[in-house]
Amino acid sequence: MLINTVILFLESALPIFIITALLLIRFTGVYNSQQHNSYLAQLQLNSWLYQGGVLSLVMIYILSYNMADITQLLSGMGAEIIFAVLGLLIYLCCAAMFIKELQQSNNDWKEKQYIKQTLALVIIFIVFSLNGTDFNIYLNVLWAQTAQLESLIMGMVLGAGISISIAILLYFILLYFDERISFNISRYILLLFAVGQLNKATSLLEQVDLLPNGRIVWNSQNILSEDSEFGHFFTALLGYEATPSLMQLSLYVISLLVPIILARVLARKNNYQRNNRQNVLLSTTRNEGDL
Amino acid sequence: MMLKVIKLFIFSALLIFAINALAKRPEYVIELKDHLFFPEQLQIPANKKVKLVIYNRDDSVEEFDSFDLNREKVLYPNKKAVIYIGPLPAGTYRFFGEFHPNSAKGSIVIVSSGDNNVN
Repeated sequence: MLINTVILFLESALPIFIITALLLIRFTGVYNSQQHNSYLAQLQLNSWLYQGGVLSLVMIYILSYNMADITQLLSGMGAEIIFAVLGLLIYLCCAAMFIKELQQSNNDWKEKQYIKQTLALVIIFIVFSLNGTDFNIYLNVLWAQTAQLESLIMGMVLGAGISISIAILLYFILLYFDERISFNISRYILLLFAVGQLNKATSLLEQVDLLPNGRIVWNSQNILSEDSEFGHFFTALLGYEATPSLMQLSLYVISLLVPIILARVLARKNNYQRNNRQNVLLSTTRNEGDL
Repeated sequence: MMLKVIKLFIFSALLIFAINALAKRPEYVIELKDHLFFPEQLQIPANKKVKLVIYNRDDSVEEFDSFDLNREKVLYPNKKAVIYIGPLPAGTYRFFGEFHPNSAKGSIVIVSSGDNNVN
């Protein structure tokens, strides 16, 4: 029972802690050293976390209560379609945040922060709701099964401790890499997390025959089992699949490359426009000086 | 131009969904009763996509889980669940109930039928 509860935490609750760490970096990392030195200002900056968390508790209750009926909708595809759509939304919001940050300039910093906070709120709300619902359902089953409440509670405490430790470690490691190596590392990890969520959505749609289910490309279960500790971690962080289909692999690569290419194209376009504006300004100043 | 590309992408995605959703698949049934799967071993033809309908006749939640088939679905009490598997090559693919793995287990045996149709 103890081990089952710990595994339940790693499967269902770990993504919640990971996304919290990944998003907190976006608001407390190297981009945000200006204007937010006070504790209150920091709290206000991270309001998306508290709001998203509270709203998701309501959604978790609604989804858990109605999940049995939801699974019967749309000829038995209801749960998969809803979860897949929400997974797609997580991906789109993370990709938007990834692209928006590359366009950051000092002039419209406040507007960009507002957009980032809104996107973060949506991401946290959906991730918390999806994984929280899974966690709640599984926990209820384990609760009903066990006669040993102590081992269940101990398992929850251990699972929570492991998940929080992983999140804290991830936060500080990425912060270190951002400051010492490149600003972009944590941003790419967030994008990979988003692609992982899309991968899960793809898997759900294959399960209900809404996407073609091609042959399995490889089986790395012997190298890194999905059931192992590292397997759970990489599944939560990157959407690792030991037996990916061709469709999953293709979508994984495409969904990773599209935001990166789009971000670079838009950043280059912005730089070009900014340089053009500067040139126009310079030539106008020069003409006025001549006059 | 960008808008045209997005529209084309959405149209293609909907077309793929429609083609898959409308295709008729052979149907197989598994029942879960007293934390046991019936039949414990199910035979299906190779290289075909099939629809698996799983009825949970128990009063408790179970989860149909299979690493071999890459499928996972929660089975609610007295409800049915639908999943699609395949096309798969010949072999034995194990599944189990996550909450009662010692009793709720079974396998799907994929047999070569000599028919090479895929999907």
